[in-house]
Amino acid sequence: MKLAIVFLFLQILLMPSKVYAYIDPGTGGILYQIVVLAIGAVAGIWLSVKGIIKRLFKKRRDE
Amino acid sequence: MYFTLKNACKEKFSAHHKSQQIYLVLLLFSAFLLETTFEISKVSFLSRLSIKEVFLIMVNSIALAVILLLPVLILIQRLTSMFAFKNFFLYLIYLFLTLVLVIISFVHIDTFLYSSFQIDITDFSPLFHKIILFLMLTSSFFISFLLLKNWHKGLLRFKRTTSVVVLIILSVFVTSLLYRGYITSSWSVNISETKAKKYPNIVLFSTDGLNASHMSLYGYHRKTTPTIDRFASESIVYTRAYSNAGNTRGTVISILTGKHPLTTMLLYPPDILMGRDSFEHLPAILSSIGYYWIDIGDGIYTSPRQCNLVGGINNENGYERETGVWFITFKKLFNLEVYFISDMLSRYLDKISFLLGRSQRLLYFKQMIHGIETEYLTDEKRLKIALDKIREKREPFFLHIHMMKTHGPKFRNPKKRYAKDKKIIEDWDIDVYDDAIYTMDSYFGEILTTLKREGLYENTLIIFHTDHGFKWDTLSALPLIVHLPGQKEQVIIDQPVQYLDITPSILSYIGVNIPEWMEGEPIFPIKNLKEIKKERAFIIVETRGIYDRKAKAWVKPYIGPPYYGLTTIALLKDTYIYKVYLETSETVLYNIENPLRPLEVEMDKKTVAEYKKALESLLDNNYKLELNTND
Repeated sequence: MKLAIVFLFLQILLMPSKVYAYIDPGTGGILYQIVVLAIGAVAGIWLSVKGIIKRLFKKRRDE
Repeated sequence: MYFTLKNACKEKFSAHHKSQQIYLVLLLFSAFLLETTFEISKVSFLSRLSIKEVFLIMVNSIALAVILLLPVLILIQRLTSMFAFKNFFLYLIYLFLTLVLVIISFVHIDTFLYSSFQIDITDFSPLFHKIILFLMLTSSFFISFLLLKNWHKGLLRFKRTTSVVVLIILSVFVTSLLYRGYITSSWSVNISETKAKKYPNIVLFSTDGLNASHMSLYGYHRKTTPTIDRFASESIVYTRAYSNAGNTRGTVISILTGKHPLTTMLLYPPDILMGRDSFEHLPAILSSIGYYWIDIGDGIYTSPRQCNLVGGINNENGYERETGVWFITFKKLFNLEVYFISDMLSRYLDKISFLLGRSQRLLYFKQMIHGIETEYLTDEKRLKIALDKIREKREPFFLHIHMMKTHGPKFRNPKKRYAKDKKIIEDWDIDVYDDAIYTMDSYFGEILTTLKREGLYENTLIIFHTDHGFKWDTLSALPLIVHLPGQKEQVIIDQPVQYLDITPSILSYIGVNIPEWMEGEPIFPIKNLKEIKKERAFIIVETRGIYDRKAKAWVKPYIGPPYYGLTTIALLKDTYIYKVYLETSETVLYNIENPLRPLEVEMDKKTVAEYKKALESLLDNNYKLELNTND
């Protein structure tokens, strides 16, 4: 969640200020950015927490 | 012992095979889900469709991909399990699937970064590209190894969910297949005139953003178009020609289809042809009577493939295209799904080809805006393809070529003649613009010379035009010059004509019946010249990006009802153009007595009322678009 807030903050800061008469076909909207960010955040959190959860369960089995 | 081992082996392979099949389905599902999210989050071709239609496109696309790829995977699994090195083949399949996963992740990370921070792979050096490629490959090798070892068991957990999802997707697919087979059965061009005769070759040469007022042919003080001047001396020259759209894609496709942009609602990317409009067009008609259609353009804005024009185009930018009946029938059933899939694949391929240093298509947009030099489809390359194709002599041929040298604000590398002493060049520099026109004129000359050298000139109908004026001007007259095969004298036509008239005129000239769905009126051959009415009225539309102050960026206007992304609509009649700004309901009247220099004039109530009524009547009778004006 913290990661998402930092990214959104950076995004607002770095919003393009140049003006073009052509619409860029490669840019996705905010919904897309949120979805990709959410997937990234979930994957990141899962990878970092996965080890801890596994260790917890292993300990219980040993006991 | 032997049987126990054999069964254990079978079970092991069966587990791997199943996990690979689940892996493939999950990959396809996530790729299409992400792509749909990407497309619906911005203005895209999906924006015109209802939620139900978007959902159907996504589901059917997944179904098509699963139906196509899953049997291939199963076949490969069966074949490879028959040979030695079974584990190695299992690893190879995992590696291939993982590479797809890595590419999907790379493309979406890149798109995310570009959407958020305007940074993408084009901003980095070739060394960085090689590092990314190395990381992609090594991570694929590593993940595939883990999948072969133990991770595949994790995939097997999704077995039941995957089966249920695939069943639902396939049932939706079959239902829509039956329904669409019924409604699309009547879509065809139905040409009655198919008697075998020798048709002439046709060359449709267009250049971007060229005002007639900058051509010496139309009286410009600089000798910018010496070749065209000579060519025009044995051609029909129209002095009051106008395009029906203020944007490249709108004009090009309205000429290729013979349908007004208000009919197809195609003006500007990402607008595309949909429904029967994808199949009813000039290339389809000419293809049915034996023409070989060569289309050369930027592969994006003017590309028939990108605009979803199906069939009739034999070769686009040097690459052969599918025109078979089976393909067209399949496209009729899954028109937008196939477009969605091919659009997604081309986005992926563009990024990967750029990483590999094999294509610079990704830079095209930056080149249009910033004038960054790229090797991607320069006018010189387009000219070379055209000349090679002419020399092939696959008669009768139709060559449609669109040049970009004259497109602003940056004009790409013109021969220096008028701006040779300039050190600093601003956007839209008139001297550079004139240089670009002069260069384009010489390229047009090379096409004429090649036609003559190959003995084709006397049997070729040649049409020269543009798509819109300088800075997307739609009020000034644009060039239109038509050379009929064997014509030796100049004919000047002062009546107003629209570019939409080009298409029915071509059919009229070659003696093919003009279909009912085609708009416009024939303005050549010679027998039609007298029938061009002076008091003709026609509609010119524009769409532009609108500057969003909050986002600090140009955005495409909302493309749904009531105006479908149009920003202005204008009526040209007699000596006036009456223009309505749709967002603000503001109206402006222009006097075009001098067609090269239109003048904004005071609105006299009687004239305005007359023009407003004429415009509303044209809209009511043909396009069902309602106007609000401040008058």
